[in-house]
Amino acid sequence: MKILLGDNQFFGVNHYDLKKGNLTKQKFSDKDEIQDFIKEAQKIGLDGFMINSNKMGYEIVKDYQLEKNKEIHYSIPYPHKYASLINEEGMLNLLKYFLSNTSFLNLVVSLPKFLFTGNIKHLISLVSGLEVPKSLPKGSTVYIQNVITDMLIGIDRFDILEAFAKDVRKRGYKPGLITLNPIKLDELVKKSVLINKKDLTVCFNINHAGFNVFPSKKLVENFVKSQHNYNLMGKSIFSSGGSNITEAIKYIKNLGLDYVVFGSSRLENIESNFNRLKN
Amino acid sequence: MEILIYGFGRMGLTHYSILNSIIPNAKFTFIEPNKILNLISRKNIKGKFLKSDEKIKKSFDLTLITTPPFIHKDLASKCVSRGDKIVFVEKPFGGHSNTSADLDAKNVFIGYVLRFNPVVEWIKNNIDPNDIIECSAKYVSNTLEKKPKGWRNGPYSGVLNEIGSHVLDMINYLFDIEDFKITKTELNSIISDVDDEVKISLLSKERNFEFYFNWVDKSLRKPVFEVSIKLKNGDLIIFDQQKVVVNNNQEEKTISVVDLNQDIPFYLRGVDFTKQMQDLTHKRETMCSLNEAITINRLMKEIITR
Repeated sequence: MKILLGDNQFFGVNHYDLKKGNLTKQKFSDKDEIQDFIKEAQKIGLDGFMINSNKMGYEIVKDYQLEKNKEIHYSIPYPHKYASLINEEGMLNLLKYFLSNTSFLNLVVSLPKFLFTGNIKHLISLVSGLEVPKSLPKGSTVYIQNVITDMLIGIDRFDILEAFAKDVRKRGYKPGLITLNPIKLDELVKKSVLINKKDLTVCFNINHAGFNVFPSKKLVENFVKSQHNYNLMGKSIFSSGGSNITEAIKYIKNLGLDYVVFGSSRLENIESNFNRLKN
Repeated sequence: MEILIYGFGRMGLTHYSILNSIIPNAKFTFIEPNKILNLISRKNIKGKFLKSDEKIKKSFDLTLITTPPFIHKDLASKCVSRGDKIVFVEKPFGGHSNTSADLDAKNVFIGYVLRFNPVVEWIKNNIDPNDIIECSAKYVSNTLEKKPKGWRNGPYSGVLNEIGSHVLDMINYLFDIEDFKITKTELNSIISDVDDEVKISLLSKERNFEFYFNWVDKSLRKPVFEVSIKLKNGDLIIFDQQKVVVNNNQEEKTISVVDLNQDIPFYLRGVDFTKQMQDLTHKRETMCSLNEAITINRLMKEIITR
């Protein structure tokens, strides 16, 4: 099981304690501080790190010197940015944003297909082009954030996730999908020759407490135990701080996941949890 | 089930995605008057897309009105006259200026989603409104980063209509503040031309309530929502969307969402959103009624015009 450093502590996210999350964010005020923290965490022995494409995350990844045998797992898009665009000027503002921020060459490649068919899956390449820095090391995994994955599952547009996987592979990366509905996603992935490959990673919540594990802890446990052609990554493994650590680690170690991702603003906590997960 | 959705913006899309996942074989019709959005949507979403409801003669099992607030009331009346069985209107029903209760329909419900938060459910089931002497509620976020355009920069928007209404409804749902008496208000515009920061003090049944709403706090990434309640017996209860802390001067007890049942068949944007759609299509025990929504509009109007 590979172990990755998560990014919630850098950006003020704590699903269990929102106030604590915002306080933690204040500890990481600039790019250098975050990059140094990631490097120190890698020295402990972690297999890499996972980070979102928000403004700071993009900058961190853009010039990060990746250590040998380490991995970057990069999630797009930054939902808050797009939610703000919609809040301020409506749904069509999103389209305007993508079109006005994409290079002429990329527009020439992607736009005719979209204009001809009206199918938004032809815009996925514009989104990846804007959100993924060109310097992201090849072989890294690029994920779609859960709010997008799950919305697309809900509106029966799994083909857009397939288009995303195809585009990401073309760019030299591995595809990843973050979801809070892993069982519904699994049903769709299993039917898709295009996406159901060994380079795919599906990331979802799983923890001893059953915190934010949907549709239920029991069903997700059964899903984890079933056969997959792709990698499984557990997130929220400590219930965002709401779990007993000893029980949480014992539980996660017995699941047989391919990856886990967790974060902390304290290196000593990362080291302690890493050692307990490895041994 | 035949479902009609007016408006295919962010909320229309969210509710559609959830309903499409939890109701087998539902058939959707959408009314989206924006020509470009209508064209793109009809090419990408399974369902019938219309630019207006003029040609609709049949009634629907469920209708969702997720348009800007200024047309809520007319659309809701039209749906009721047409015989639609259940009508859901996004909050705040018509905005703060809609304070008349002339649409008397028992099948119209307003989308105040905080009611469906598991922690709020716990408070509803465990705290007697008559035991409260003080309550303070705040909601702070970084929702607006620059001045919005269109109706979102006008009297139908502002932090009070868009965010504060959620908290006011939740407090009314939990503690019944229908007979409110406002004692103090402060409204500030910071980014938009309407209210971005609002402070309110009010009295209800000899209980003091304080509210603070701010949606332009740049220091936050995620919204912070917190309510503290002082009880007659001296207990202090603090809750947010994740947990309740009960302090009785001798010990502190925490009940978190981890301890509360959260199982839902499909997740998008929050447990609350799915639970709201489940309640709407089944028992409708927790949904906000028209009368309750009008109470919140009345309260907001008094705050804004005071």
